[in-house]
Amino acid sequence: MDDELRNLKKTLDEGVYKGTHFTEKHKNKVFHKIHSRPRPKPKRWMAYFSFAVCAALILLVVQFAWHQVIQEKEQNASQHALMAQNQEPLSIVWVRTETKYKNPVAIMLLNVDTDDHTASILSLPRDLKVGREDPAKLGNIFRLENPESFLTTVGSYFDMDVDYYLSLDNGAYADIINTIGGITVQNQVPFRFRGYDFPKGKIELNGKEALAYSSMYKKDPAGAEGRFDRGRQVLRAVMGKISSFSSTNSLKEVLTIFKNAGQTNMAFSEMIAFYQNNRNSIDNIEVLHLAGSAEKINGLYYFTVSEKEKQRVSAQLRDK
Amino acid sequence: MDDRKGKVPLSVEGHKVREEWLGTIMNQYGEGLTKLAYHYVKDWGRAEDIVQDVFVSCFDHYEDFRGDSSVKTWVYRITINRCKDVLKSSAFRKTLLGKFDFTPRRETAHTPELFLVKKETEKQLARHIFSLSVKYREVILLFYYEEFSVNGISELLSIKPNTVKTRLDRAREKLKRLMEGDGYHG
Repeated sequence: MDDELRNLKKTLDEGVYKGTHFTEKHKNKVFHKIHSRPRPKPKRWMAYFSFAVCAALILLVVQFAWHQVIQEKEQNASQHALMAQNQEPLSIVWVRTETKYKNPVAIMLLNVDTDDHTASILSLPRDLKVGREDPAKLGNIFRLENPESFLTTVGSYFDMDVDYYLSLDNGAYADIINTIGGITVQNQVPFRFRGYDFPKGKIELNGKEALAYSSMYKKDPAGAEGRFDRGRQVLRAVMGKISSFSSTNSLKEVLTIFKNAGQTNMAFSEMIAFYQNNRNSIDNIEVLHLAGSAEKINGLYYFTVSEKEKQRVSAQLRDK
Repeated sequence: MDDRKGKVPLSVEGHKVREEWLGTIMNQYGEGLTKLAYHYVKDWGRAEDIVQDVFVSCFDHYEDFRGDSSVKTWVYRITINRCKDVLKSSAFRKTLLGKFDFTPRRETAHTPELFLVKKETEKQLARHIFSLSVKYREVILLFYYEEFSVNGISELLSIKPNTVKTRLDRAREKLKRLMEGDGYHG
Protein backbone atom coordinates (compact mmCIF):
# COMPACT_ATOMS: atom_id res chain seq x y z
CA MET A 1 0.00 0.00 0.00
CA ASP A 2 3.00 2.28 0.56
CA ASP A 3 3.53 2.48 -3.18
CA GLU A 4 0.06 3.78 -3.72
CA LEU A 5 0.57 6.29 -0.94
CA ARG A 6 3.83 7.44 -2.49
CA ASN A 7 1.91 7.95 -5.70
CA LEU A 8 -0.77 9.92 -3.87
CA LYS A 9 0.39 13.30 -5.09
CA LYS A 10 0.26 12.16 -8.69
CA THR A 11 -3.08 10.41 -8.22
CA LEU A 12 -4.69 13.47 -6.75
CA ASP A 13 -3.06 15.97 -9.09
CA GLU A 14 -4.31 14.04 -12.07
CA GLY A 15 -7.67 13.36 -10.49
CA VAL A 16 -9.59 15.48 -8.09
CA TYR A 17 -6.87 18.13 -7.79
CA LYS A 18 -6.47 18.53 -11.51
CA GLY A 19 -6.64 22.05 -12.85
CA THR A 20 -5.83 25.49 -11.58
CA HIS A 21 -7.71 26.56 -8.52
CA PHE A 22 -6.15 29.90 -7.85
CA THR A 23 -6.13 32.33 -10.73
CA GLU A 24 -5.96 36.06 -11.42
CA LYS A 25 -9.68 36.12 -10.75
CA HIS A 26 -9.10 34.89 -7.22
CA LYS A 27 -6.28 37.34 -6.69
CA ASN A 28 -8.53 40.17 -7.74
CA LYS A 29 -11.20 38.93 -5.38
CA VAL A 30 -8.74 39.17 -2.51
CA PHE A 31 -7.83 42.74 -3.43
CA HIS A 32 -11.48 43.53 -3.80
CA LYS A 33 -12.19 42.16 -0.34
CA ILE A 34 -9.36 44.22 1.11
CA HIS A 35 -10.63 47.41 -0.49
CA SER A 36 -14.31 46.96 0.09
CA ARG A 37 -14.62 45.22 3.43
CA PRO A 38 -16.24 47.03 6.29
CA ARG A 39 -13.72 48.27 8.76
CA PRO A 40 -13.36 45.97 11.76
CA LYS A 41 -14.90 47.36 14.89
CA PRO A 42 -12.24 48.86 17.07
CA LYS A 43 -12.25 48.04 20.74
CA ARG A 44 -15.30 49.76 22.09
CA TRP A 45 -13.99 51.58 25.06
CA MET A 46 -11.02 52.84 23.09
CA ALA A 47 -13.06 53.58 20.02
CA TYR A 48 -15.35 55.93 21.80
CA PHE A 49 -12.89 57.30 24.21
CA SER A 50 -11.80 60.43 22.45
CA PHE A 51 -15.32 60.96 21.32
CA ALA A 52 -16.61 60.77 24.89
CA VAL A 53 -13.99 63.22 26.09
CA CYS A 54 -14.96 65.49 23.29
CA ALA A 55 -18.67 65.28 23.98
CA ALA A 56 -18.28 65.85 27.70
CA LEU A 57 -16.11 68.87 27.23
CA ILE A 58 -18.57 70.31 24.79
CA LEU A 59 -21.16 69.99 27.51
CA LEU A 60 -18.91 71.90 29.81
CA VAL A 61 -18.55 74.65 27.28
CA VAL A 62 -22.20 74.66 26.37
CA GLN A 63 -23.18 75.01 29.97
CA PHE A 64 -20.59 77.64 30.62
CA ALA A 65 -21.92 79.63 27.72
CA TRP A 66 -25.42 79.01 28.95
CA HIS A 67 -24.41 80.55 32.19
CA GLN A 68 -23.00 83.61 30.45
CA VAL A 69 -26.35 84.22 28.80
CA ILE A 70 -28.23 83.77 32.03
CA GLN A 71 -25.87 85.98 33.91
CA GLU A 72 -26.68 88.95 31.75
CA LYS A 73 -30.31 88.69 32.71
CA GLU A 74 -30.39 87.39 36.23
CA GLN A 75 -27.74 88.65 38.51
CA ASN A 76 -29.17 87.94 41.88
CA ALA A 77 -27.87 87.15 45.30
CA SER A 78 -29.24 83.64 45.59
CA GLN A 79 -26.99 82.53 42.77
CA HIS A 80 -23.92 83.73 44.54
CA ALA A 81 -25.03 82.00 47.69
CA LEU A 82 -25.29 78.77 45.73
CA MET A 83 -21.83 79.22 44.29
CA ALA A 84 -20.34 79.53 47.71
CA GLN A 85 -21.88 76.25 48.81
CA ASN A 86 -20.58 74.34 45.87
CA GLN A 87 -16.88 74.41 46.54
CA GLU A 88 -16.59 70.64 47.02
CA PRO A 89 -14.98 68.48 44.35
CA LEU A 90 -17.64 67.18 42.04
CA SER A 91 -18.07 63.95 40.15
CA ILE A 92 -20.23 63.56 37.11
CA VAL A 93 -20.83 60.48 35.01
CA TRP A 94 -21.22 61.33 31.37
CA VAL A 95 -22.99 58.75 29.20
CA ARG A 96 -23.30 58.91 25.47
CA THR A 97 -25.93 56.59 24.08
CA GLU A 98 -26.57 55.02 20.74
CA THR A 99 -30.32 55.19 20.60
CA LYS A 100 -31.93 57.69 22.86
CA TYR A 101 -31.44 56.82 26.53
CA LYS A 102 -30.84 53.18 25.78
CA ASN A 103 -27.52 51.70 24.79
CA PRO A 104 -24.54 53.47 26.27
CA VAL A 105 -21.61 53.59 23.86
CA ALA A 106 -19.38 55.70 26.04
CA ILE A 107 -19.38 56.09 29.78
CA MET A 108 -17.05 58.53 31.39
CA LEU A 109 -16.34 59.77 34.86
CA LEU A 110 -15.50 63.46 35.12
CA ASN A 111 -13.99 64.76 38.33
CA VAL A 112 -13.52 68.43 39.00
CA ASP A 113 -11.65 70.04 41.84
CA THR A 114 -12.76 73.60 42.33
CA ASP A 115 -9.90 74.53 44.60
CA ASP A 116 -6.91 73.95 42.40
CA HIS A 117 -8.81 74.14 39.13
CA THR A 118 -7.95 70.73 37.90
CA ALA A 119 -10.14 68.06 36.41
CA SER A 120 -9.74 64.47 35.42
CA ILE A 121 -11.49 62.27 32.95
CA LEU A 122 -11.74 58.50 33.12
CA SER A 123 -13.53 56.45 30.52
CA LEU A 124 -15.30 53.35 31.76
CA PRO A 125 -15.82 50.39 29.44
CA ARG A 126 -19.48 49.51 29.15
CA ASP A 127 -18.49 45.87 29.67
CA LEU A 128 -16.88 46.77 32.98
CA LYS A 129 -17.62 44.02 35.49
CA VAL A 130 -19.37 45.44 38.53
CA GLY A 131 -20.71 43.55 41.53
CA ARG A 132 -18.74 40.80 43.21
CA GLU A 133 -21.34 38.13 43.93
CA ASP A 134 -23.49 38.75 40.92
CA PRO A 135 -21.39 40.10 38.06
CA ALA A 136 -23.06 42.64 35.80
CA LYS A 137 -21.95 44.92 33.01
CA LEU A 138 -21.87 48.61 33.82
CA GLY A 139 -23.58 49.45 30.54
CA ASN A 140 -26.48 47.18 31.39
CA ILE A 141 -26.92 48.81 34.77
CA PHE A 142 -27.37 52.11 33.00
CA ARG A 143 -29.66 50.63 30.40
CA LEU A 144 -31.83 48.53 32.67
CA GLU A 145 -31.82 50.16 36.07
CA ASN A 146 -32.70 53.61 37.32
CA PRO A 147 -30.14 56.45 37.27
CA GLU A 148 -29.79 56.43 41.05
CA SER A 149 -28.62 52.83 41.21
CA PHE A 150 -26.32 53.52 38.27
CA LEU A 151 -24.72 56.38 40.20
CA THR A 152 -24.47 54.20 43.31
CA THR A 153 -22.83 51.44 41.28
CA VAL A 154 -20.17 53.73 39.85
CA GLY A 155 -19.62 55.37 43.23
CA SER A 156 -19.21 52.15 45.18
CA TYR A 157 -16.94 50.75 42.50
CA PHE A 158 -14.38 53.47 43.18
CA ASP A 159 -15.41 54.00 46.80
CA MET A 160 -16.41 57.61 46.28
CA ASP A 161 -19.50 59.78 45.87
CA VAL A 162 -20.72 60.40 42.37
CA ASP A 163 -23.07 63.34 42.30
CA TYR A 164 -24.53 63.66 38.85
CA TYR A 165 -25.09 62.00 35.56
CA LEU A 166 -25.55 63.56 32.15
CA SER A 167 -26.46 61.66 29.05
CA LEU A 168 -26.87 62.51 25.38
CA ASP A 169 -27.27 60.41 22.26
CA ASN A 170 -25.20 60.42 19.07
CA GLY A 171 -27.87 62.12 17.01
CA ALA A 172 -28.14 65.03 19.43
CA TYR A 173 -24.38 65.38 19.47
CA ALA A 174 -24.32 65.60 15.69
CA ASP A 175 -27.22 68.08 15.85
CA ILE A 176 -25.25 70.32 18.15
CA ILE A 177 -22.37 70.39 15.68
CA ASN A 178 -24.80 71.15 12.85
CA THR A 179 -26.43 73.89 14.88
CA ILE A 180 -23.18 75.72 15.35
CA GLY A 181 -22.77 75.60 11.58
CA GLY A 182 -20.30 72.72 11.42
CA ILE A 183 -16.63 72.89 12.28
CA THR A 184 -13.34 73.30 10.46
CA VAL A 185 -10.38 71.06 11.19
CA GLN A 186 -6.90 70.57 9.79
CA ASN A 187 -6.66 66.96 8.61
CA GLN A 188 -3.20 65.36 8.59
CA VAL A 189 -3.92 62.03 6.92
CA PRO A 190 -6.29 61.75 3.97
CA PHE A 191 -8.76 58.88 4.33
CA ARG A 192 -12.21 57.67 3.45
CA PHE A 193 -14.57 56.39 6.12
CA ARG A 194 -18.30 55.57 6.26
CA GLY A 195 -18.66 56.93 2.76
CA TYR A 196 -17.08 60.31 3.53
CA ASP A 197 -13.89 61.59 2.00
CA PHE A 198 -11.50 63.40 4.29
CA PRO A 199 -8.77 64.94 2.15
CA LYS A 200 -5.62 66.32 3.65
CA GLY A 201 -5.69 69.93 4.76
CA LYS A 202 -8.41 72.24 5.98
CA ILE A 203 -11.79 70.52 5.86
CA GLU A 204 -15.28 71.45 6.94
CA LEU A 205 -17.35 68.88 8.79
CA ASN A 206 -21.01 68.66 9.63
CA GLY A 207 -22.29 66.63 12.57
CA LYS A 208 -22.29 63.23 10.91
CA GLU A 209 -18.96 63.82 9.25
CA ALA A 210 -17.48 64.89 12.57
CA LEU A 211 -18.72 61.63 14.12
CA ALA A 212 -17.10 59.64 11.33
CA TYR A 213 -13.98 61.76 11.39
CA SER A 214 -13.39 61.20 15.07
CA SER A 215 -14.27 57.48 14.98
CA MET A 216 -11.90 56.32 12.25
CA TYR A 217 -9.17 54.15 13.61
CA LYS A 218 -7.79 51.56 11.23
CA LYS A 219 -6.62 53.78 8.39
CA ASP A 220 -4.58 56.10 10.55
CA PRO A 221 -0.86 55.36 10.74
CA ALA A 222 -0.95 56.45 14.36
CA GLY A 223 -3.87 54.11 15.17
CA ALA A 224 -5.80 54.87 18.34
CA GLU A 225 -3.52 57.81 19.02
CA GLY A 226 -4.52 59.35 15.74
CA ARG A 227 -8.17 58.99 16.52
CA PHE A 228 -7.66 60.61 19.88
CA ASP A 229 -5.99 63.54 18.15
CA ARG A 230 -8.88 63.89 15.74
CA GLY A 231 -11.34 63.79 18.62
CA ARG A 232 -9.46 66.66 20.20
CA GLN A 233 -9.40 68.60 16.94
CA VAL A 234 -13.18 68.29 16.72
CA LEU A 235 -13.49 69.38 20.33
CA ARG A 236 -11.27 72.42 19.91
CA ALA A 237 -13.19 73.44 16.84
CA VAL A 238 -16.53 73.13 18.62
CA MET A 239 -15.25 75.04 21.63
CA GLY A 240 -13.88 77.79 19.46
CA LYS A 241 -17.12 78.09 17.58
CA ILE A 242 -19.29 78.27 20.67
CA SER A 243 -17.11 80.84 22.38
CA SER A 244 -17.17 83.10 19.32
CA PHE A 245 -20.93 83.31 19.06
CA SER A 246 -21.97 86.86 18.40
CA SER A 247 -25.68 86.23 18.86
CA THR A 248 -27.38 84.22 21.53
CA ASN A 249 -29.75 82.55 19.08
CA SER A 250 -27.43 79.73 18.05
CA LEU A 251 -26.53 79.12 21.63
CA LYS A 252 -30.17 78.82 22.57
CA GLU A 253 -30.63 76.23 19.85
CA VAL A 254 -27.71 74.21 21.20
CA LEU A 255 -29.20 74.37 24.66
CA THR A 256 -32.60 73.36 23.35
CA ILE A 257 -31.12 70.24 21.76
CA PHE A 258 -29.56 69.26 25.01
CA LYS A 259 -32.72 70.00 26.93
CA ASN A 260 -34.81 67.83 24.60
CA ALA A 261 -32.43 64.95 24.07
CA GLY A 262 -30.31 64.92 27.16
CA GLN A 263 -30.98 63.42 30.57
CA THR A 264 -29.58 64.58 33.85
CA ASN A 265 -30.26 64.82 37.55
CA MET A 266 -28.58 68.20 37.65
CA ALA A 267 -30.83 71.12 38.44
CA PHE A 268 -30.53 74.21 36.33
CA SER A 269 -29.20 76.25 39.22
CA GLU A 270 -26.65 73.55 40.00
CA MET A 271 -25.38 73.66 36.45
CA ILE A 272 -24.98 77.40 36.65
CA ALA A 273 -23.09 77.18 39.91
CA PHE A 274 -20.98 74.33 38.63
CA TYR A 275 -19.89 76.21 35.56
CA GLN A 276 -19.32 79.44 37.30
CA ASN A 277 -16.99 77.66 39.66
CA ASN A 278 -15.28 75.32 37.27
CA ARG A 279 -14.91 76.93 33.89
CA ASN A 280 -11.20 77.46 34.52
CA SER A 281 -10.70 73.76 34.98
CA ILE A 282 -11.54 73.10 31.38
CA ASP A 283 -8.05 73.87 30.19
CA ASN A 284 -6.52 71.61 32.74
CA ILE A 285 -7.84 68.13 32.26
CA GLU A 286 -5.88 65.04 33.13
CA VAL A 287 -6.75 61.85 31.31
CA LEU A 288 -6.82 58.77 33.55
CA HIS A 289 -6.74 55.17 32.39
CA LEU A 290 -8.29 52.06 33.84
CA ALA A 291 -6.47 48.92 32.75
CA GLY A 292 -8.14 45.55 32.68
CA SER A 293 -8.61 42.40 30.70
CA ALA A 294 -11.36 40.35 29.13
CA GLU A 295 -12.89 37.69 31.33
CA LYS A 296 -15.52 35.17 30.31
CA ILE A 297 -18.20 34.40 32.88
CA ASN A 298 -21.14 32.17 31.98
CA GLY A 299 -20.44 32.73 28.31
CA LEU A 300 -20.36 36.53 28.54
CA TYR A 301 -17.29 38.69 28.20
CA TYR A 302 -16.57 41.23 30.87
CA PHE A 303 -13.89 43.86 31.20
CA THR A 304 -12.37 42.90 34.52
CA VAL A 305 -10.12 45.16 36.56
CA SER A 306 -7.82 43.82 39.23
CA GLU A 307 -8.29 44.96 42.81
CA LYS A 308 -4.89 46.60 42.76
CA GLU A 309 -5.63 48.61 39.62
CA LYS A 310 -9.02 49.61 40.99
CA GLN A 311 -7.36 50.95 44.12
CA ARG A 312 -4.75 52.80 42.10
CA VAL A 313 -7.40 54.56 40.01
CA SER A 314 -9.64 55.19 43.03
CA ALA A 315 -6.73 56.93 44.72
CA GLN A 316 -6.14 59.08 41.64
CA LEU A 317 -9.81 60.01 41.55
CA ARG A 318 -9.91 60.95 45.22
CA ASP A 319 -6.84 63.09 44.68
CA LYS A 320 -8.91 65.39 42.54
CA MET B 1 -0.34 57.63 25.07
CA ASP B 2 1.55 56.11 22.17
CA ASP B 3 -0.41 53.23 20.72
CA ARG B 4 1.76 52.77 17.64
CA LYS B 5 3.71 49.84 19.02
CA GLY B 6 6.28 50.20 16.29
CA LYS B 7 3.83 49.68 13.46
CA VAL B 8 4.84 51.03 10.09
CA PRO B 9 2.74 54.01 9.07
CA LEU B 10 0.43 52.91 6.30
CA SER B 11 1.04 55.68 3.83
CA VAL B 12 -0.06 55.47 0.23
CA GLU B 13 3.36 54.06 -0.67
CA GLY B 14 3.14 51.66 2.26
CA HIS B 15 -0.15 50.44 0.91
CA LYS B 16 1.39 49.84 -2.51
CA VAL B 17 4.27 47.91 -1.02
CA ARG B 18 1.83 45.75 0.90
CA GLU B 19 -0.24 45.02 -2.16
CA GLU B 20 2.80 44.07 -4.19
CA TRP B 21 3.98 41.81 -1.43
CA LEU B 22 0.54 40.22 -1.20
CA GLY B 23 0.55 39.68 -4.96
CA THR B 24 3.83 37.83 -4.67
CA ILE B 25 2.73 35.52 -1.91
CA MET B 26 -0.56 34.88 -3.69
CA ASN B 27 1.35 33.79 -6.80
CA GLN B 28 3.55 31.62 -4.67
CA TYR B 29 1.04 30.00 -2.35
CA GLY B 30 -2.43 30.56 -3.83
CA GLU B 31 -2.68 27.27 -5.63
CA GLY B 32 -1.06 25.23 -2.88
CA LEU B 33 -3.19 26.73 -0.16
CA THR B 34 -6.40 26.12 -2.10
CA LYS B 35 -5.54 22.43 -2.36
CA LEU B 36 -4.52 22.39 1.28
CA ALA B 37 -7.90 23.84 2.20
CA TYR B 38 -9.60 21.27 0.00
CA HIS B 39 -7.92 18.49 2.05
CA TYR B 40 -10.01 19.73 4.92
CA VAL B 41 -13.29 21.06 3.58
CA LYS B 42 -13.61 18.84 0.47
CA ASP B 43 -15.35 21.60 -1.45
CA TRP B 44 -13.65 23.88 -3.95
CA GLY B 45 -15.92 26.86 -3.34
CA ARG B 46 -15.27 26.73 0.38
CA ALA B 47 -11.58 26.19 -0.15
CA GLU B 48 -11.39 29.29 -2.36
CA ASP B 49 -13.26 31.40 0.18
CA ILE B 50 -10.99 30.24 2.97
CA VAL B 51 -7.85 31.02 1.01
CA GLN B 52 -9.12 34.48 0.13
CA ASP B 53 -9.79 35.16 3.79
CA VAL B 54 -6.32 33.92 4.65
CA PHE B 55 -4.74 36.36 2.19
CA VAL B 56 -6.81 39.24 3.50
CA SER B 57 -5.53 38.34 6.93
CA CYS B 58 -1.95 38.18 5.58
CA PHE B 59 -2.41 41.69 4.24
CA ASP B 60 -3.40 42.89 7.69
CA HIS B 61 -0.47 41.17 9.33
CA TYR B 62 2.16 42.32 6.90
CA GLU B 63 4.42 43.57 9.68
CA ASP B 64 4.40 40.20 11.37
CA PHE B 65 5.72 38.55 8.22
CA ARG B 66 8.66 40.80 7.63
CA GLY B 67 11.94 39.16 8.42
CA ASP B 68 10.20 35.88 9.00
CA SER B 69 11.95 33.27 6.91
CA SER B 70 9.22 30.65 7.01
CA VAL B 71 6.32 32.44 5.41
CA LYS B 72 5.20 29.06 4.13
CA THR B 73 4.74 27.59 7.60
CA TRP B 74 2.89 30.74 8.63
CA VAL B 75 0.40 30.74 5.79
CA TYR B 76 -0.09 26.99 5.94
CA ARG B 77 -0.74 27.18 9.61
CA ILE B 78 -3.34 29.93 9.41
CA THR B 79 -5.04 28.18 6.51
CA ILE B 80 -5.25 24.95 8.48
CA ASN B 81 -6.64 26.73 11.51
CA ARG B 82 -9.17 28.57 9.41
CA CYS B 83 -10.27 25.28 7.81
CA LYS B 84 -10.74 23.68 11.18
CA ASP B 85 -12.84 26.61 12.33
CA VAL B 86 -15.01 26.21 9.26
CA LEU B 87 -15.35 22.47 9.85
CA LYS B 88 -16.45 23.13 13.39
CA SER B 89 -19.12 25.65 12.42
CA SER B 90 -22.57 24.16 12.41
CA ALA B 91 -23.53 25.94 9.19
CA PHE B 92 -20.79 24.05 7.39
CA ARG B 93 -21.88 20.73 8.85
CA LYS B 94 -25.43 21.27 7.67
CA THR B 95 -24.61 22.24 4.11
CA LEU B 96 -21.78 19.90 3.31
CA LEU B 97 -22.12 16.73 5.29
CA GLY B 98 -22.15 13.90 2.81
CA LYS B 99 -22.03 16.18 -0.21
CA PHE B 100 -18.51 15.22 -1.18
CA ASP B 101 -18.44 13.19 -4.36
CA PHE B 102 -14.81 13.03 -5.35
CA THR B 103 -15.10 14.31 -8.86
CA PRO B 104 -12.55 16.49 -10.55
CA ARG B 105 -13.80 19.94 -11.36
CA ARG B 106 -14.03 22.08 -14.45
CA GLU B 107 -12.93 20.80 -17.82
CA THR B 108 -11.42 17.64 -16.39
CA ALA B 109 -14.81 16.40 -15.28
CA HIS B 110 -15.49 15.62 -18.89
CA THR B 111 -12.31 13.78 -19.73
CA PRO B 112 -12.88 10.19 -18.70
CA GLU B 113 -9.55 9.03 -20.12
CA LEU B 114 -7.89 10.55 -17.10
CA PHE B 115 -9.66 8.02 -14.98
CA LEU B 116 -8.93 5.20 -17.33
CA VAL B 117 -5.20 5.70 -17.18
CA LYS B 118 -5.13 5.68 -13.41
CA LYS B 119 -4.83 2.47 -11.53
CA GLU B 120 -8.10 1.63 -9.87
CA THR B 121 -6.45 0.89 -6.53
CA GLU B 122 -4.83 4.32 -6.34
CA LYS B 123 -8.10 6.02 -6.98
CA GLN B 124 -9.74 3.81 -4.43
CA LEU B 125 -7.07 4.69 -1.88
CA ALA B 126 -7.55 8.41 -2.49
CA ARG B 127 -11.28 7.94 -2.02
CA HIS B 128 -10.68 6.23 1.32
CA ILE B 129 -8.30 8.95 2.46
CA PHE B 130 -11.08 11.46 2.04
CA SER B 131 -13.37 9.28 4.10
CA LEU B 132 -10.99 9.37 7.10
CA SER B 133 -11.64 11.77 9.94
CA VAL B 134 -9.80 15.09 9.77
CA LYS B 135 -7.31 13.98 12.40
CA TYR B 136 -5.97 11.15 10.23
CA ARG B 137 -6.67 12.67 6.84
CA GLU B 138 -4.60 15.75 7.56
CA VAL B 139 -1.45 13.88 8.58
CA ILE B 140 -1.67 11.55 5.59
CA LEU B 141 -2.16 14.41 3.15
CA LEU B 142 0.45 16.66 4.75
CA PHE B 143 2.95 13.81 4.65
CA TYR B 144 2.27 12.18 1.30
CA TYR B 145 0.75 15.03 -0.66
CA GLU B 146 2.29 18.18 0.76
CA GLU B 147 5.49 16.23 1.48
CA PHE B 148 6.15 17.75 4.85
CA SER B 149 8.47 15.88 7.21
CA VAL B 150 7.19 14.51 10.51
CA ASN B 151 8.86 17.45 12.24
CA GLY B 152 7.37 19.87 9.77
CA ILE B 153 3.89 18.51 10.44
CA SER B 154 4.57 18.66 14.14
CA GLU B 155 5.37 22.36 13.83
CA LEU B 156 2.40 23.09 11.59
CA LEU B 157 -0.16 21.42 13.81
CA SER B 158 1.53 22.25 17.11
CA ILE B 159 1.60 18.62 18.20
CA LYS B 160 4.54 16.42 19.20
CA PRO B 161 6.50 14.58 16.48
CA ASN B 162 5.64 11.30 18.18
CA THR B 163 1.96 12.10 17.98
CA VAL B 164 2.40 12.75 14.27
CA LYS B 165 4.07 9.37 13.85
CA THR B 166 1.35 7.59 15.82
CA ARG B 167 -1.37 9.24 13.77
CA LEU B 168 0.37 8.35 10.53
CA ASP B 169 0.62 4.71 11.65
CA ARG B 170 -3.01 4.56 12.70
CA ALA B 171 -4.10 6.27 9.47
CA ARG B 172 -2.17 3.71 7.40
CA GLU B 173 -3.75 0.86 9.37
CA LYS B 174 -7.19 2.28 8.82
CA LEU B 175 -6.54 2.69 5.13
CA LYS B 176 -5.23 -0.83 4.90
CA ARG B 177 -8.35 -2.20 6.51
CA LEU B 178 -10.53 -0.15 4.20
CA MET B 179 -8.60 -1.37 1.18
CA GLU B 180 -8.86 -4.99 2.34
CA GLY B 181 -12.58 -4.47 2.59
CA ASP B 182 -12.45 -3.80 -1.14
CA GLY B 183 -10.54 -6.99 -1.74
CA TYR B 184 -7.12 -5.42 -2.00
CA HIS B 185 -4.12 -7.25 -0.51
CA GLY B 186 -1.09 -5.01 -0.66
